[in-house]
Amino acid sequence: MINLQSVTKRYPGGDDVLVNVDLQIAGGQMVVLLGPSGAGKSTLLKLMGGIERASTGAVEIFGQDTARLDPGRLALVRQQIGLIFEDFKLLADRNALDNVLVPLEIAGYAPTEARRRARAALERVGLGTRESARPATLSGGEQQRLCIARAVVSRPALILADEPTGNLDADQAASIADMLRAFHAAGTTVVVATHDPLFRDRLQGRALHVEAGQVRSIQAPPGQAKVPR
Amino acid sequence: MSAWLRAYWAASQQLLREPVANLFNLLALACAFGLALAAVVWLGEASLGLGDANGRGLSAQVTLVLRDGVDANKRAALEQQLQGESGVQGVRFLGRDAALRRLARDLGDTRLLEGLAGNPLPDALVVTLDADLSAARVDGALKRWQARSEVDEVLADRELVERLRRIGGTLRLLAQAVVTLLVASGAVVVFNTIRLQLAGRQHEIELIRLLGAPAAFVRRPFVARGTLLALIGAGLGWLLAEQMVRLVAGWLGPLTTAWGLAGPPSTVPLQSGLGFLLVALVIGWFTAWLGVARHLRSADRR
Repeated sequence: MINLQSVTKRYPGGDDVLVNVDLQIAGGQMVVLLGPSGAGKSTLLKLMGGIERASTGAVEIFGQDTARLDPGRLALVRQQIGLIFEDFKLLADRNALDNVLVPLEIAGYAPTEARRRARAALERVGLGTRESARPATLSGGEQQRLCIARAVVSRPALILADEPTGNLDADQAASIADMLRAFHAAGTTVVVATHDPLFRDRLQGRALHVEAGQVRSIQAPPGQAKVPR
Repeated sequence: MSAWLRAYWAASQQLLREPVANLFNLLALACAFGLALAAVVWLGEASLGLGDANGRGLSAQVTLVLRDGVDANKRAALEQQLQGESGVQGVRFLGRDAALRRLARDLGDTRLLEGLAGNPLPDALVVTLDADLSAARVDGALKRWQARSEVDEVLADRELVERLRRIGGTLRLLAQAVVTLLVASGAVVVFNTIRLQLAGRQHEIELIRLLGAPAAFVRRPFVARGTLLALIGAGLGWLLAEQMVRLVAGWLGPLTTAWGLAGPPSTVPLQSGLGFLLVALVIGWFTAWLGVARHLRSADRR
């Protein structure tokens, strides 16, 4: 599903964030990216989501080389990915239902069908009774669940979550972990970046350690790089 | 198509949600488009009888002074011949007696004429030329008529006519420049409104692009808003132009009639109004499209 070959990512005027990374993620996997802040986890997720382009090397998503895709095709690839953000990125001037409707509007769903799906997604994350609420009136945990509803409403094949529990307490984090596991159990590939080992333990997925621009399998002996597969 | 309809519906709702800010934008657009439309109407009607840049639209009268001894038959033959020429709208005989009576009437004091031994005025033919006759063709006709044996002299206000034509041409050029500036200022209003909208919704645009929105999806609401704004502005401008055209016709109508000139138009022709709405639609669409394209390009560079 995702294939990174010798990927290096360098931001203009900065050091290399990722160096010569090889990584394959097969469909249906639960992958947890661990590592300290600034290690390159978010950059790795952005590459997997087609949001950033690699400085060198190749990134394939769903078998398509993102470097060769024109903006229109890349947008279609992104529509198949559900994104969950640490800061939720909800639209403050829209209510919960309208926030969840956004990916469906982009995908061109008819309004009636879109509303039906959006309501179902809100029910699934436990916000069925809060569809008229504006994000500012929701708690942090509810906002993250709303963000998750928006990510899964178009039934993506891949969910990328960047520090989804960064702003939440332990109970809320446990609830989010359960939700992500449920989506994974339903066949969705889930990649989560977190610096929280407890959250990793709850997810019980394949763990990768990202540090100093390198990606290593958690099980690898210290100091020995291993190409994760 | 339904996505576009939804976008226009949403844009109209948004216009209603922010009535004050939009009112000022619409007023600015109505002024720019209304003045431009009025100017176009006045230009299109070759108003005030000044003619267009090529000297057309200005009708002129030429007096052919006949030689003494040209009898009625010869005069009638000449009159018929002139009538048959292209570019001649009409020929009227002005006999010497009638000319004297008219002179006496114009002077208002007949004592001077009573002292004359006889009628010193000649017979004449007054030729009215077509309004769309070019200056070159008028000159050719004057030369041709002057060469005729029956004609003693050709009297034409060529200098005045030329001067009026030049003034008309300059005015027309100025009016065209003003129309262009006004339409451009309308485009700037739409562009700036869309630019402010884009700046205000930057966070939303970034998010929907992350979620896989193609550029066309991002553009749609702004293009809908731009075209709607321009269209409503042009519609209000049409109303404004109609009032201006009526007002000017009321002021200048009696004056132009007294001078024997074609008066200014009294209403905005339907075709001009609809054409202007179409132009505004294209301007609104294009400037909004351009604004979003520019915004997305700079966002991509960041």
